[in-house]
Amino acid sequence: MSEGKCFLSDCEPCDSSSQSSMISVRLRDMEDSTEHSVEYEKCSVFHCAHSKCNLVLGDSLGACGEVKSLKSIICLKISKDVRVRGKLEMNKEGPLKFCTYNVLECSGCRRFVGFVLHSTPHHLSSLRGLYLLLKEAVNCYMLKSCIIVNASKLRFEHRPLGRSISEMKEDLEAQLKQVNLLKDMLDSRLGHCHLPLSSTVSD
Amino acid sequence: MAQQIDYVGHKDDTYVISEGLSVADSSSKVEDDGEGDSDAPAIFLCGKCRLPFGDSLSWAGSDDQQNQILLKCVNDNIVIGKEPFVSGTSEEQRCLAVHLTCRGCSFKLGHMYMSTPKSLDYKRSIFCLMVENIESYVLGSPDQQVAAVDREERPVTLEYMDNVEQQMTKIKSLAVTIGQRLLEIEVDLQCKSGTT
Ligand SMILES: [Zn+2]
Ligand SMILES: [Zn+2]
Repeated sequence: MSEGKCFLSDCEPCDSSSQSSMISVRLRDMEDSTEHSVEYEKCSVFHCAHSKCNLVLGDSLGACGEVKSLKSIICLKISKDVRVRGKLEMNKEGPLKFCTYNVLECSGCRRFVGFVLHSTPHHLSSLRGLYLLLKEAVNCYMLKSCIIVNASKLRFEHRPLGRSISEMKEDLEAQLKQVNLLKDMLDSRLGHCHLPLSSTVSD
Repeated sequence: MAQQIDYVGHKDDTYVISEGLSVADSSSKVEDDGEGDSDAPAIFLCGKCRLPFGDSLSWAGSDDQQNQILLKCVNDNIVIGKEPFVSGTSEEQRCLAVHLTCRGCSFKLGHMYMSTPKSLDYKRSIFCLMVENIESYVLGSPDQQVAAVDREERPVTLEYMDNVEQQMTKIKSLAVTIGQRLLEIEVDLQCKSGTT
């Protein structure tokens, strides 16, 4: 509500019909843009970092984040040129302690480029079955800028949306309050009972 | 007091609406999964050693007759030759160009016209690459393998999160507009009630 107020003072008084049509345009705009709003300028393509190989291993459209402790990128999709080795490996120490996993290898150079966790302790269980590409084994070609950097120099973190959502919820709740207030004002006007409206509105 | 209860009721409604939205979102995501994006960009690689050198975001056209694609910019994986050579078979098309080679394997990838007659001006000083000597990779290619994880347990991609964030920003600004409008109505109502 306070936000609305400061906006009102900022803006020149505008024609209300154009304003409401603006709202509907923006609503429509929101519906339309659900399909194609990928910012390709921010995308990158993952290549095997082994010199002289450069095979495409996947791209950022298939990436879901990163696991810092395993120094790897979480991928939902990867190129068919990445082979999942059939043999189940296991670790007794290190970050993969007590895990069993299948090794991912580049079909170009047969190097180890990542793994798929099969069985894990509790803290890694949400990663089971997903492709984990070792950042060190991946070079990223960044679209638009054409720059190539090793993935270990990049971040693939999720930006938490929780705060944004709760802020928006607060905004909307404030608006709802305002609508209710307006409704009361209208009701009282229609009911011809003149309450001291100004005092209820001012806070 | 009555208003308070009313308010809680509305709040519940709001929650249901937002739930509905998220369902719609996930279904649209399913569609996204089904078909590959037709307007997704491609990156271009050396046909021999697969070093990436450019992408279709700097697309400058193509010459289908000569089987060339034209790019405005590339990275330093393309070496621009120093020795100009005479290009063009016909007298009319004759001009000077330099070779473009791959930094990784010296494979000849194309050329750049340093000077052009009028008919070739659209190719001057940009990168002309021979389609038969290069490879391409389309982002989000449907030709990928998908992790064997139940649909419900699949994490969302970073790109999907970006999309949600964008939508949120739009909704936020919409909320501001609505708030502004509400305030106008409030002021309006106040004025009118003042006169009666
Ligand atoms: Zn490789
Ligand atoms: Zn090459």
